[in-house]
Amino acid sequence: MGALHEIDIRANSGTVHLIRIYKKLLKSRYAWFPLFMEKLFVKKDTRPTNVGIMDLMAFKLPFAGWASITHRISGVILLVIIGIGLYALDLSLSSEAGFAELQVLVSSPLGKFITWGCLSAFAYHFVAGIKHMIVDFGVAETTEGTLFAARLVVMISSVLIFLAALWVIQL
Amino acid sequence: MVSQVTSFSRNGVSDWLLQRATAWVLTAYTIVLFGYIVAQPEITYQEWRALFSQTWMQVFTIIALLSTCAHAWIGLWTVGTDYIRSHLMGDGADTLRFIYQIVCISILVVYLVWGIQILWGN
Repeated sequence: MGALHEIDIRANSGTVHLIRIYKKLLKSRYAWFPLFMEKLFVKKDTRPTNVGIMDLMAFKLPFAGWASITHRISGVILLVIIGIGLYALDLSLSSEAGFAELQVLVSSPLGKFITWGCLSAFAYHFVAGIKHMIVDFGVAETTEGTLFAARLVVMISSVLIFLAALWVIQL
Repeated sequence: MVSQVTSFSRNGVSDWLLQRATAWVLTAYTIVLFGYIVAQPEITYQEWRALFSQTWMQVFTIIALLSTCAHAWIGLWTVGTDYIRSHLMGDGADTLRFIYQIVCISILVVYLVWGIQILWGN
């Protein structure tokens, strides 16, 4: 609760009348009196309020934070990638011609790039997810441990993304 | 305890557990599928087709697909309720989040039906 004259939003009908009188008093030339009394007796609310995203922007996101948000972003992207994967599976299992068509698609430059992009997002989400499940067992819960785990995730997924590039090139 | 009617199991701990259980299933499926693809670089249509006509692979695939849908819903729900909030973006956020959730669940239902059709429809 803030100053007394700010509480009208939460007031019930019984107190509305009193608040009206109080507001009138605040507009009168005797306003100094209630304001002085508020200053003396009304305790300011010092509890923390929830922060908005703009407040969070003011802080530098730590490395582990970047690793975490990338996990989320890759997860959202995977929603589209699952669709691409199902399309590929559908085509590959539809017929001999469909299987050959998929092979042609995947070996084109654009096809290779899309395949690599999909594999990369998947690899990152996969490795970061495994980290989450290891952390669930109480491993690396300290600040240093979290940083180490995040670095490990980025390193392992980088290797996988590199291997995915090599694999895609030879397709 | 606050119960969110749109969360997967209406219970945070249960959602968390499901997120992990489905993640393990998907880990296993990923290892099996990618292991097979990498181990067989010169794979033919007949071999590929034979793999997916075995009962264990069909069951494994459908379990993986169901896991994907549950896993994706919990993840997308978390992302939606974390960022699309009236607290952050004003009064339209609740409507926007509702639309977002409808779109997400529609996509996942389409994937599930599509997957079933791929496995047993061809």
